[in-house]
Formats: sequence, C-alpha cells, structure tokens
Amino acid sequence: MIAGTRNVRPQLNVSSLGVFSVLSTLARSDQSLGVLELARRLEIPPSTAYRALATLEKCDFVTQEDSSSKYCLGNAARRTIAAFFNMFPIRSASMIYLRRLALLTGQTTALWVRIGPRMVKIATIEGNPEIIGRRPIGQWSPVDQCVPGLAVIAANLGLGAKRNERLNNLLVLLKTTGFVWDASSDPNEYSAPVVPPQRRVFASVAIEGGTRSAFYSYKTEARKIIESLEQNLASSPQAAYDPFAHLDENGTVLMRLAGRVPGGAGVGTVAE
Amino acid sequence: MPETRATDDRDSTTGVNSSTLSVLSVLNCFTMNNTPLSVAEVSNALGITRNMAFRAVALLASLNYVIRDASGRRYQLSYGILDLCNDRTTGLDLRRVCATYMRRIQAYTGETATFSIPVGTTSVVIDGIEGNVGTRLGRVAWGRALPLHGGSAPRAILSCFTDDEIETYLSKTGPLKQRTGKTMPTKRLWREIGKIRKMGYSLSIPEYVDDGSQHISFPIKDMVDRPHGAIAVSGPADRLTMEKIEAILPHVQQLIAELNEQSHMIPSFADSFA
Repeated sequence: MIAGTRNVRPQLNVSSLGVFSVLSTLARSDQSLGVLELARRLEIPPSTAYRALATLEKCDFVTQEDSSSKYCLGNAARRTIAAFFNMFPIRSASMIYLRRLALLTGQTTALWVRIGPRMVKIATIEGNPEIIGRRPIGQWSPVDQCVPGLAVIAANLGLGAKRNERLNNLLVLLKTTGFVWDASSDPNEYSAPVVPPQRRVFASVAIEGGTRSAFYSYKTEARKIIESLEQNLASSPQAAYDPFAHLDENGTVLMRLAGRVPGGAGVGTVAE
Repeated sequence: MPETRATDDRDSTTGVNSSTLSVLSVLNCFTMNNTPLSVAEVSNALGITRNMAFRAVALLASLNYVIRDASGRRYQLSYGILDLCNDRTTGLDLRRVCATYMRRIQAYTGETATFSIPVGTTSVVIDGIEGNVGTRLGRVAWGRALPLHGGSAPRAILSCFTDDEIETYLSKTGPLKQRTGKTMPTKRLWREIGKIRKMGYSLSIPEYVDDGSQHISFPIKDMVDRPHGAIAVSGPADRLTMEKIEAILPHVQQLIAELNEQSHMIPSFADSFA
C-alpha cells in the first residue's frame, strides 16, 4: 500500500471501466462486432465505442479484421488468457494424461481447477464424438453445482465433516470407482479428483459423455492413468502448485459449499 | 460501491484514452511476468509513478483481473480474465488460423505455402495456398502423406517430439528411405533434428529431392511445444534460392512467431508412436 493511502479507496476511472466493458462485450460475442453494434449493445454513443476500441487496439487487446471493419479480441487478450492458464503448472503436467484418457475413452477429457467458490475448466482434449453444448476452456461453475466440483468436495471431506445422504453417496462412488458422477447431468460426466502430494485437492479430471456401461468398461484403465498423473505430481511437487490456495486456506469455503450440496437423490450410485 | 471519477484524458487527435492505456500496460506487465508483482515493481517496470500504478492496479482489482497473492503484498492475475475467454480465443480453429498466416506468407514471398499435420508416423498436407507463378512444383499436394523423416515439413514436425519418442519412431520405421530412393543415415537425421531445434526451421536436403524443388518449413506448436504441424514455403529451387530464403526469413519467422502465439492456446493431438 502506498504510504498515506492506507485508508483511502482510490477513485476508479469511469472511462477506463467503460473501455473494459467494451472489451468484455467483444469477448462475450460469438462473432466480431462493429462500432455501431458495440455502441448499441452497451447503450453508449458510437463515438465513445470508437474511442474505446482505438485505445484497446493501440495495446493490441482488440484487432480489426482485414476483410471487414469489425473488431475481435487481439493478441494481447490471448496472451493474457494464456498467462492466466499458465499460472497452473498442473495444466501442462496433465496434458499427456488427458490425451491418453481421450484415446482410451473416445470422449472429451478436461482438467478443472478450483478458484475459491468456482471450478474452472483450464484444459481440454477433444474426443471423437460431437459433444452438444460442450463447455469450452475458461467456462466455470460453482463448485457445488458441477461434477468436477463434487469430485473436489468429496476428496476433501474430512472425517469430522457433516455429511448428508448425497455426500455419503459421493464418497462411496469415489471409494469404489475412483470417480464421481451425477445421475442428473446430461450428457454424462465422470470426474476423478487429482490428489497432489500436499493432499489438498484443488483439481479434477472429467470425462465428458459416454454411457454408464462404457464407463464401467474403461474405468479401471482410466483410474490407472489418473494415478500416473498423481505419481508424476508426487515426483515434481512444483507441478501441483495451486496459485489460489490462499483464497481458502482453512477449507472453510469448501466446507460451506459441501454443506450446500442438497441431500437425497441426485448423485449416482454404484449400482446404476 | 467504488468511487468513480470521470476523466477526459484522451488524446485529442486519436481519441485514445491515455490513462486507460496505462491500465492496459499494467495488465500487460502482469501477463509478461511469471511472478506476482507489487505496485512498486509495476511502477519501476513501466516507468510510471507509484500513484498511477496504484490506480491502475486498483482498477484491475475491482474487475478481478488481478488479486492479492498469498503474501498479501503483491498482485497476480485472477479469474476476471475468464471474461475474455470464448470459443474464438480458447477454441481456435487451427486450420483457419494457419490459413490466415499462409495467405500472408504467400503474399509476401510469392511462393506456395502449405500446412501439414502429423498423423501417426506420417505428415499429411491438409491445406495450402499456391504461389503466384503457377508451376507444377508450386501445386499444393493435398492429402499427400510423407514419413516423418522424409521432407522438410515432416522433419520440422518430428523435431518437436522428445528424443525418446524419436527413438521409438526410428525403431518402428526401419531404414529412412527418401523419395529419391536413397536412404538417410540415422546419424544424419539426428543432426538435422538438432539443426531444426536450434534454428527454428527446416530446409529440404538437395540430395534427397528429385524434382528441383526447395522447401523451408516451420514447426507450429502448442503450449508445451508438442507439434500441431508445420508450415512450409515451397518453390522451384532456381527461384527459391538460398539468397531469397535469407531475404524472406526474418519476416516469415515473425509471422510464424505470431501464429505460434495463437497455436499455443490449442493442445496438440500428436501421438507418441507408442
């Protein structure tokens, strides 16, 4: 903190915030956008949208397409995204194992990590079949509302943790198969926690799609691949570094989220 | 609610907002550093006042683009960056991206540009743009498969595999037959791999080329340096001379570097020959 500013909240620059609104609007769009369309979406004058784009273009956060006057995210935005994902060394450590899982199962495989109350997908290897509604890299869900998050919750449940029927079922699934799944998720998704040397689980691997019988046919081999990843992390502990561990050092956020997992039906059972 | 203030610090000629430029530069600073940074470190790195650095970091923190690290004294990138993720930044169509750069390479060099990918133990041409002067040698051989030791593009791809993987490839392949019918000694292949890794490109070897063509190829990689494939620039050897190659190399390497910045976001599907 700069001396003399300890208790002073800085005034935030409105026009700078506006420029970042333009940036995130472009990012959320599934196509390049022109000045007028951006202005319409943000309900700002076209001149303001144009100035924002000029500022972003100067730093290469947006770029104008050769063939049109529309704008899309530039190399600086891509580099920033890449730098964020590169904060997780487990990402590059996992790639070979994700690839092996995709080859074994024929399904898309993904690596998810926990950041506070969210699970974020940070890597994916596409399998053979088309996945309808697949979630691309960077998508996130609350920890307690996605299968990869349930895997992390189950893996971190301590002996004294309060459990309902659903959490108990998760633990049984994890113990007997090495995976968890949710009977209500569509398409099917099977997730295994990645247990690092420090034992505090913050990542999980997901296999997206496939029938339950197909899963049972490959689950043993899939479990071996994940164990190989865990052995790799044990021999290179720096690869298991969690840059956001400090957001929930005592696990209280995770336990609160575990308490939010509704009881009763929902989580699959081994018999299914 | 954070206090806000309106500013009018834009450049009157271009309309560019200078204080926002400062914030974007600070964000770039975090991107380029692998370690968390303090406000003082940001200020020193960019040559801006501590106050400017502080305001920029505060704005980025309000958007969750940065967050305090475990020490509490520094800042690091944070999950707000996920706002920038979409299928076009993280689900890039590699073939479309390569096509954009092949167009630029072809326009600059006047020669044919092709994109090949590894498929098992071969390299297959899947896209290309023909050079300005149509000759038989400038045609794109779509679908042509060559062994990974048999050509400048295949060798550029092979150089991205680990030494163990290359040994596995060699054990499966047997004698390294070339298109001319000659066999390349294994030692010669290893020397070529070493040169490609050092220089960042692969040249065709005249004694193994039988059609008067010349090729220079550049590996395209993912974030852990696994090969997506290779882009080759090809033409008749009497036109694509070593002098011309030396002249075009700096700009073509710059285009390839830009392309690799994007291809790094996409994991490679290259198998390991096991």
